[in-house]
Amino acid sequence: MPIPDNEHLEQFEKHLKQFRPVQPEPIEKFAVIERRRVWGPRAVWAAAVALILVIGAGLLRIHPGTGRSGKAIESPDHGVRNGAPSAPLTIRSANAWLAQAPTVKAGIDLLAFSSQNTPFKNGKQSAIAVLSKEKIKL
Amino acid sequence: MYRQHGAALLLFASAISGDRARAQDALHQVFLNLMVNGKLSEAEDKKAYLFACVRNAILNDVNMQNRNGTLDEQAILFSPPDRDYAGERNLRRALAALPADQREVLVLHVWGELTFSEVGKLLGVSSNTVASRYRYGLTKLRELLLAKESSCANT
Repeated sequence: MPIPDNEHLEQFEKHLKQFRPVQPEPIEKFAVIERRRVWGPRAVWAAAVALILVIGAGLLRIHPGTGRSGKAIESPDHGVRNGAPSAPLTIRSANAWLAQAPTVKAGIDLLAFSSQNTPFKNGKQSAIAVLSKEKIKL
Repeated sequence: MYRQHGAALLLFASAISGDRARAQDALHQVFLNLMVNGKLSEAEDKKAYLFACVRNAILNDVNMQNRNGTLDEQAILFSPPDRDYAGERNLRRALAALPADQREVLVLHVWGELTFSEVGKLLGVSSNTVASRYRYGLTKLRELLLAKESSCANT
C-alpha cells in the first residue's frame, strides 16, 4: 500500500476528530466536596448572622424600652401599685407578688386589680379603647 | 476542568489501561486528589498536567502492571458523527489493533489536543520520536479503516 502524503493524513486526522470521546460519569464524591466548598462559607455566615441576632435579642431583653419598664404602673382607679409588674401575669410573677404582699388577701387584690395594659405611644390607642367609644346597636 | 477535559482523559486512560472501569476509577481518583491537595492550580500547563496525573495513576495501579498492553475494543467509546455507528465500531477495533506506544501518542495528539512537544515531555521521549510514532500510527490506522471499509463494501 502506498504511503499517504501529509495532505491525506491531515484530512484523515480531521475525520478522526469528528468522533468525540464519550464523557465520563460524574463523580459523586466530587459533587459532595464541591457542595461543601460552596456551602461551607455560607454556613459560617449564616451561623454568624444567627449569633448576632441571638445576642441582639438578649440585649433587648436586658435593656427593654422605657414603655415596658418593670416599674409600677399608675392605675387611674387604684393609684400606684407598688411592686406590681407591668409585664404579662405569669405564675412565676404571681408567686413573687404574693410572697411580697403583707397578707394573702392583699396579694390577691393586688393581682386582681392590677392593670395588664402597657402604655401606648402618642396618638395610638388600644383596640378595646376604640371599640368602647363606638355606639354599637345590637 | 473535569467537564472540559474529562472525555479525552477517560479515552486516554482507557487506551493505556485497556479497561474502561479501571480508567474511570483512576480518573476520579486523580480529580479527587487534586481537589484535596490543590496542586492543579500550581501547574503551568493544566491540561498536560492532568494527562500526566492520569498516566501515573494508571501505571501505578498494581492491577494494571500485570496487563500485557492489549486493549479491549469495548474499553474506548466515541460519539460518532451523523450516527455512523459502523464507523465508530471500526475505529475502536482499529485503535485496539495498533501498537500501544502509537495508540498512546495518537490519542494524546488527536483527542487530547496536546502538541508533540507536550506529548514528548509527558512520555519522556523526544518530539521527533513522538512525531514518528504519530505518523506510523496514523498511517496504520488509516490502512486498517480502509481495509475494513473495503471488506464491508465487498460483503
